Amino acid sequence: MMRRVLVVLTAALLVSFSLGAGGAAAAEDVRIGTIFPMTGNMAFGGNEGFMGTEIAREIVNERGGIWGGRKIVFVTADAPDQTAATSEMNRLISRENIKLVIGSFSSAIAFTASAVAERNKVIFWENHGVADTIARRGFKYLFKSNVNATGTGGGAASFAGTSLAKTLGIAPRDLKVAVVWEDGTYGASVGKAAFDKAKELGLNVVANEGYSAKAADLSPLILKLKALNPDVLLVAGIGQDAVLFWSQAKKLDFNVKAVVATSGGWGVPDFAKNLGEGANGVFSSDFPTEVNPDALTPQARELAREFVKRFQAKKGTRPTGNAWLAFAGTMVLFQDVLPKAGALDPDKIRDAAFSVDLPPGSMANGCGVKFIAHDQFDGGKNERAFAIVGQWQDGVMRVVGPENLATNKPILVPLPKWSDRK
Amino acid sequence: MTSARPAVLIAIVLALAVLPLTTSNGYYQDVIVQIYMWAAAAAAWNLLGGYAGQFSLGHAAFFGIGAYTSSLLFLKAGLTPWLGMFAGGALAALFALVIGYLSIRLRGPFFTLSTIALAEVLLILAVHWRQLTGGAEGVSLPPTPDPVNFTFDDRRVYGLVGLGFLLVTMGATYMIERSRLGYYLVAIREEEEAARAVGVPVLRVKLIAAVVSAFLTALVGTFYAQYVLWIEPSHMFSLDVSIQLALIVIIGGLGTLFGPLIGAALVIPLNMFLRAWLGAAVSGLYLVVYGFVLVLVVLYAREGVWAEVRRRLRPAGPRSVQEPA
Amino acid sequence: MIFVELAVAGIMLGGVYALISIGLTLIFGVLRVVNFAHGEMLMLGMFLAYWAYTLAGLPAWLTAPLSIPVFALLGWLVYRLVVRRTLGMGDVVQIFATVGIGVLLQNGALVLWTGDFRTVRGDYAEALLRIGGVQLSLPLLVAFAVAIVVSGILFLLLNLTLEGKAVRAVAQDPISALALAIDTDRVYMKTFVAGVCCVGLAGVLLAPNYPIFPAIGVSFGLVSYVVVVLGGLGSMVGALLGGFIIGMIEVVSGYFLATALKQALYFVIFVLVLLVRPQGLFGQRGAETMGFGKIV
Repeated sequence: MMRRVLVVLTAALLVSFSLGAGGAAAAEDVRIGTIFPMTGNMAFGGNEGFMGTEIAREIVNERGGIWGGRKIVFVTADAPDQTAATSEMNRLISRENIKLVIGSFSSAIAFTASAVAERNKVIFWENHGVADTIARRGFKYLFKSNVNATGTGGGAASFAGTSLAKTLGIAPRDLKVAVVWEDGTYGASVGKAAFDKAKELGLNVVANEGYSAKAADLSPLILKLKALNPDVLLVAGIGQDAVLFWSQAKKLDFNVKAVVATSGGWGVPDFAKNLGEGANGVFSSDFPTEVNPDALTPQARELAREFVKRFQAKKGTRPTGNAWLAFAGTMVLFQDVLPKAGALDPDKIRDAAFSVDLPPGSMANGCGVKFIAHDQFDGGKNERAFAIVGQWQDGVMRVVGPENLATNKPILVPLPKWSDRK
Repeated sequence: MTSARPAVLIAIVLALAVLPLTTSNGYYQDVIVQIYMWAAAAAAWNLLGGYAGQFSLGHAAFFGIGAYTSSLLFLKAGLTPWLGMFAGGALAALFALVIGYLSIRLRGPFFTLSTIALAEVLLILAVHWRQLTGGAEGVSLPPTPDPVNFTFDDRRVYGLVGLGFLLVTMGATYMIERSRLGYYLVAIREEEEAARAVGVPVLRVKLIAAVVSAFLTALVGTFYAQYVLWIEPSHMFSLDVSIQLALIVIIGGLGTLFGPLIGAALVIPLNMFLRAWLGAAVSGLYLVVYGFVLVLVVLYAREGVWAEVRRRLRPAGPRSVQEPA
Repeated sequence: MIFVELAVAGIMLGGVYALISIGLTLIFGVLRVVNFAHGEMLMLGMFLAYWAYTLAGLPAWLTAPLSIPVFALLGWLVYRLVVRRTLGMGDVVQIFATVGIGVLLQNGALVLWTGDFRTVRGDYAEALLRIGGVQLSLPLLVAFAVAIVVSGILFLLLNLTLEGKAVRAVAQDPISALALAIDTDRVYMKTFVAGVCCVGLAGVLLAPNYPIFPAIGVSFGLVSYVVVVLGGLGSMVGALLGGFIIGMIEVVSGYFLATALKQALYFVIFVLVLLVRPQGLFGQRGAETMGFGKIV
């Protein structure tokens, strides 16, 4: 019996070796890699981010492709955690000969994947990761099209300390604020930004706690927060932990007057889907989503409309800030950078990217484009990206601030107690 | 005891040295480096598990201690990892000595459970002490090639260095096999009570095996850190890493010199090729296969796959004198 | 007020841990086998509850009794194909046979259902009770009640029925039991199956309260070893009490110390118990050093 098993095993190994050697793509296609957490606890955001990227690709291909009609083809990678990110990047680069990778929803994934890209001199185009540390390593092959943790985290604290404090009628120095963050690359960076800003504004910070996004039970943390009785909760959750936290808060009857999250797991459609009515009222210092069309250029307006239409057709819900980042950022790459570059050559792509100079309103999500030089602080980051304040209203994330971009007014301040809700 | 002749051994070493140079494809080079690295770590585990019969599922603790010590010493004190790795090894050895003294008395599965618990504690501490370890974000090392500081551009160089680590751990195994310690280990493995009765210092022997095993595992931990250039607690201290070490050795052949290498050569490529073949779609598949194989090997081929193959191919041949339990 | 809440949370968590550990202590105590796949079987129970709800709308309390035949079959298969062949075969076989099964189950779940977190929703899953100003999750309360009832039933069965006495006889001394014409193989088989049913049941009942994903078995599995060692091998009372103690320690330490450290404390306790009083609170002295059942 053993011998048969061994024969089968050896055969399997030989088969896998030989199969491993195969696989070539059509020469005409432009092969670009994508890396997102498609499975695992960040799958919500990863799949949504990939969908935004994919819609950009579809639109560009339908409108004639790039470089004289060549179609863009994605070689996808799934990175549920950072270890997988490293091996998947190696696979994309070494086996699939990819020279340009788009990613990644998660700061942690962005951090590790871009390091592998840098080591192998491959361009890494990041549309989502906010951690301040991502673009501060002096990398020359990294481009980050979105805002930093200082924007979302600091923005959350600012919103709480100015707008919410006023609405709640509490002086900033009396406003009790709890800062809670998942202890990975994303949460730590955003949490720090929120904490620093809150301190700067003189708010009364009663808690600054990290937790593991992989924990199955957050009740001790929630009980601790309950005892501290904050007015406002500032929270950075990356994936499923957001759902777990808020649903356990409901089970344990943890009430706050307002919650300001920072996108991540709190800002994706699946959050609203899983929490139902419980998601309404939650604010999110988030990425721009369905901004006021008057703030966009005509071209951006058209793309925005097209994106919402396609996203809704595919997913059945409206896109949130995370998906917009993917779409808008990838469109910049496909429409403004690659045509100028002319080839999948990292140096040409880099030069093309630095030559882009677009005012706010040019990106489908309302931002502008100007990348900071690689030898400067935050090199590779888009300095014309910014955050907005969104709020879940009726299961949809609406923009409630800043004023020129807002489409709705804030509701449910203060939040009703859990016992008074459905 | 290994009965291979020196000439054969030298030929094998030469073949392994040449192997990384035979391909210019980065992916295949990576597979080879990983085989050597995991085989080296597995060989270190083998000293305690295969030879001393104490099955640790917490060896990731030593792996992590090695990686973190050398990396932090490099980042904070500028000490080259070539030296830092010995600090890591010493720390791991000390840890093994203290914990081992307390827990080696525990029988079989209880010892295993205690090693799992200890690795978990280290994981939790590594995440908690953000100031020191960078917490869950981990520690990343600069990607600039710098041979003095154990960072290379070329994967083939890593392959040769990895082979060096493998030779060190296998060499240690070889020497222990032939020493008095080795005879004591065999006696303990065959029948512990009888060995104790004839005066074999059982506890001391096992403790030495634990300390050497921890030291060597930590060294490979440094290699890992320098190869991947990024370490984080949930991977370095994970139960998965510990299980992988045990799995490699058991499949290849517990308590044998070549078991770890054979095991690694079977386990590692299947993972990489399944992933390449099926793409992102099926991430746990190779472990499903290996969980299955582990159960089969443990029930029906306890000497490991290689020994089983040899036995089936040479039914009438003489068996080697020593047989692992 | 917060102390009442902490105490309630600790007891509820303790009930969860006790429920998970009952099956393990039974298997441990009688077969002297450490089932390293225990956590993975719990995970399968959770997935069963998830799929039963998602595909057929069954709430967890209804899936629970239906899960028993499913896990009885699983337990029987694992016993006949694997565990039976490990008895009396030395450490490496006993440890790694169930480790292998655990790896197989966890990664099989990963391949089949991916690592995405799933949640069981619905009226039962989200039902909340208010008792004396404290809010409790109904499924958690049910799990707690079941833990007490099941351990009580098992306790009575083991001590008052003839079959139960046979089981205890085999646990104490397999050779003498054989001499008394007790079919030890059948006893082992039934005990193992009972243990697997217990943990499968635990998984189903706990599914509404936790996110469900393949790796969730690992942390619960580890805790259950801690509980069983603390409570004592083979002791029902030990599993209950051990569960409560560990639950309280986790909640209290998580509250007063950093949340991240809560698990570290009970692992440290675990190692201390193993070193200082290995038989736990209610176990037989010397149990952890006794040889494994050599008769099948």
